[in-house]
Amino acid sequence: MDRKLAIETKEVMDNLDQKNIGIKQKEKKRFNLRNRIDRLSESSTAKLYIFPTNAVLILAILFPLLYALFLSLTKVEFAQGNLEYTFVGVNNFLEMFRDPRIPKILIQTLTFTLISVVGTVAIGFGIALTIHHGAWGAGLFKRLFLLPWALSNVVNGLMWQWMYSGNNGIINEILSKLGFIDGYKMWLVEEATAMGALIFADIWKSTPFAALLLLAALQTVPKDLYEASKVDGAGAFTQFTKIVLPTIKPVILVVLVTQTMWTLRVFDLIWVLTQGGPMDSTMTLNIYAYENAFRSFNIGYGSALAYVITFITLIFTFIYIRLLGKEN
Amino acid sequence: MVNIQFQGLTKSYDGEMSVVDKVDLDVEEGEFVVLVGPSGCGKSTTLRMIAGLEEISDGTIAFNGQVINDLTPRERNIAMVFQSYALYPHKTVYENIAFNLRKKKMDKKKIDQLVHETASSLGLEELLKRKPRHLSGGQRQRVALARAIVREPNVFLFDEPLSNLDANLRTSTRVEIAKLHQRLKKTMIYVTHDQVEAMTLATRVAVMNKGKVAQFDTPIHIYESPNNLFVAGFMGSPKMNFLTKKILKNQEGYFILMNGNPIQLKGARFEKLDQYLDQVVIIGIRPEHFTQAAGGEADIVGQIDMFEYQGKEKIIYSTVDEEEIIIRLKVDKNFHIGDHIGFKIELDNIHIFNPETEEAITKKLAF
Repeated sequence: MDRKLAIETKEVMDNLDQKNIGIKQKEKKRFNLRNRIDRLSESSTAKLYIFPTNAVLILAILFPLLYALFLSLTKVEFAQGNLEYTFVGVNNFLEMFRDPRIPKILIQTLTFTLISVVGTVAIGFGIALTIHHGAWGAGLFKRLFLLPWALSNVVNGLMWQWMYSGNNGIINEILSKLGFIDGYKMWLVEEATAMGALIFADIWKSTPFAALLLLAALQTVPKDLYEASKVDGAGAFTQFTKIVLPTIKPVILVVLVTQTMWTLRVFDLIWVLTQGGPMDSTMTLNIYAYENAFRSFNIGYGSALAYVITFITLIFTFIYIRLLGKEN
Repeated sequence: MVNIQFQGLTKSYDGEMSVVDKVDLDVEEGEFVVLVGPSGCGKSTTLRMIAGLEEISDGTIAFNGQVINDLTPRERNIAMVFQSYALYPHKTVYENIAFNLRKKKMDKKKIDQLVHETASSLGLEELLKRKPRHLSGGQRQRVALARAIVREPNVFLFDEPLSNLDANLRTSTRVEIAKLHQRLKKTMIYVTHDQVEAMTLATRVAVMNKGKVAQFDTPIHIYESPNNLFVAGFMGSPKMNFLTKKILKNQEGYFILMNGNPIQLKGARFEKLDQYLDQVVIIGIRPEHFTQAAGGEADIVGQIDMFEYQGKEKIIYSTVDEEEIIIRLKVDKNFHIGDHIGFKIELDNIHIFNPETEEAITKKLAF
């Protein structure tokens, strides 16, 4: 009796097992993407989501970066419609030390960058403070101040070209009406004024974004901190230097780094307005690299120049971090 | 040591309705006054006017008789503890505590000594080199306290300082603040919406409502003999029961009807009810002023609609004449929802309010 029962039970169990296996096999056969994704661990899911971004980053940033590095170590020549790469080591970089135009270009690049960044951040701070404290004109500023930044670079360049025009430019018109200049000046064509005119246009264009970031930072300083420092006996100046500035220091760092990066790389504005002239007086590394790579088809040298810009950016960033970001 | 007088203190924005409306208060030297009330009652605004963070629209605030309306916060020499603590995030604990002293151009050695003394009195010495973001909520709160104490201010102002702490820390920090007051004996003004904080910390409580002070008195008086409906309803948890009843009279004196039962209001203090005969009044009875009674002795027999077990006591929700009443009883018997229980009202402890003026007609006499 017991044995019979045991056998029956076994049979039933075996049947069940077979059924189960059958189900499992069926499941295995039918590939279900959704189920697969549902079963992924949290980190695998994260990797899956990040994959498209990573793919774009690799394609659009890492690849060109490495390719440019490769180019900077080669001499590229056209031969019967084909490109020929000859490996030259660091010769392209050494070439810069022999290039007589480089010192002037380097100094101009740094001048352009430094004055433009300092001007941008200073004026941006002024605008941010004006809006934040609701000073006179804040309402108008708030509505208009992003406009220059929203303009396309080339449109911006063309606009300034008209305004600086030596024939009928509005800047000449205004300055001569006010009696600052005797006659119309060729702002972009004279060596003495071209760089200044460029810097002015660049500051005008970059300031809004700096102001926007700084304004956002100012708005994150809790009201309580202002009040606590007031109760602690701090005046407006101490409040700004001891409480507000240190609190928004990380954002100031970001603004400085990004502005420096962007200013070192400014191309369209200079290209539209002066193309580096007159007499190299507005030639920056960036324009020079372009000129070499795509006008003289000296692609290897152009790439090496471009890499130097990257190095300069890194050096600037390093200095900023040392100065401002000891702990961040 | 400073006493503070408010005279007709008013704050209004753009001439519209006043947030703080003609407040008169006399805070004595070394007193711990708690301003309590629901949100929007003007308590924080009042505090901020004392601090000088808010302009005074009308009236005056005086420290020791000297009007301070036009003094800057710095000249008033007050210290304030904020709800968010408002510690300077980029400064270390040490620098946070020392900030005011440095502003005063105090000698460095003296600052160092004071900071260390204050820090050790609050158990912060180990934390002096840390930044606020590396501290727990309770530690931040103590740094905020240290920052206030170190400067030896005329007045301490607290703006809901315990609201951001969890329940345990809140209780222990409350005790710390009480001890602090014992030790320093300085004038302190404390704003909270928490009646427990108000009752436990204050030497006197100012209950505020709609920009006015509803009652300014010791915690015991505020609780035991509230001046008006608002104070009676605001202080105490669960809330005081308010029952709308008509005053009737028979040979034995005044009485009210509850569930059809006459309840005699015996005692000298109920004689004031003469002018309210046949009129509706509001009877206020705190939940703890009921006792359980056997059938015949009970003033009311009510059905248990719901109850909450709270350890040593039970909160019972019942209905009398279509009005909910809340009763707090010691747990000595098992109840079930739907049971009928008899209660007696402790007549010595009831309050009667005028429904129109909301002022107390007769209230329990506090000791």
